[in-house]
Amino acid sequence: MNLPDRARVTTFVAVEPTEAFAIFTEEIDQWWKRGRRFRFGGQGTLRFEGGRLVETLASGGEFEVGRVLVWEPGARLVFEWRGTNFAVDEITEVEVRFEGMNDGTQVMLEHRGFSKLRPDHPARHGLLDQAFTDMMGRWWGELAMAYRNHVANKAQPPLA
Amino acid sequence: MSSEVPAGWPRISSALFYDDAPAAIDWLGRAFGFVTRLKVEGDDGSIVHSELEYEEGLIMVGSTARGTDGRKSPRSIDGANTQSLFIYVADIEAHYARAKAAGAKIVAELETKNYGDEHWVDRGYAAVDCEGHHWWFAQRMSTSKKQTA
Repeated sequence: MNLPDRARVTTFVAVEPTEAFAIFTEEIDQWWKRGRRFRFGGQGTLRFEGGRLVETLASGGEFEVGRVLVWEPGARLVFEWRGTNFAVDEITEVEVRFEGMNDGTQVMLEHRGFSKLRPDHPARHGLLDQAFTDMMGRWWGELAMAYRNHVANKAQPPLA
Repeated sequence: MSSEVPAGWPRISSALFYDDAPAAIDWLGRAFGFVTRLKVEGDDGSIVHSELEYEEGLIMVGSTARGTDGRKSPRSIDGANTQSLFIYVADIEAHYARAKAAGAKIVAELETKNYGDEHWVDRGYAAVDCEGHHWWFAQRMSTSKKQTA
């Protein structure tokens, strides 16, 4: 059985690729939605640190989402992705590409490797066909809009 | 009960269906100047969800292969339409040139319509997109003195 493998989201932000990349990575804890549906430990702080994406948990512990595989400021970012209910050898991958377009940046995020998750994996919530990758796409879609809104709010000139 | 509209959403927005929705999203950007603020693609590349902005206007573009709501592309039903879209733009000449260059089929040439001294003057055109949806674009040239008084 060939399980669907990837979900992709695209958004557009009205800043240059270098800035779009910097905001995506350096301000990830500010734009990434909060709460149990979006954060790994629920209440933690998310950041890229020491070549990894980690969430520092409210309990003081730490959850490593994955190692950074490619770090090309203004162009491309690739990191591994493990959910809290993934086995040690279950690793998926997220690639984010930043391309200059119309005085801004088109940001394309692809999360791939879902076909490696066994059919009864808890992360699937019982979804085997494309419904699972659709669900992941919608989840990333909410995050992409949160990122876009964060960039737009920053771009507002300060109040006089 | 709340009548609140979420930030970034107009109260009314339309979803348009295309057989090749990813190509239509690119085309609408190229020809009409829409900005894809969100595009969610499934494993097969079809569109799970999309949001395209034109200034404060918003449409969604979906794949006909998805959904159980009887969606069809006009091109699969001899160009039939059950709606057309009307959009005010800031520079109708530039918009017309852009649409034409991108291959939009012009079905009503640029024309200034004066509705009389007590009404308004619009300059606009009509075009058919890559799969047969009908669009009207117009620029408001003047509003009657009575209306603005």
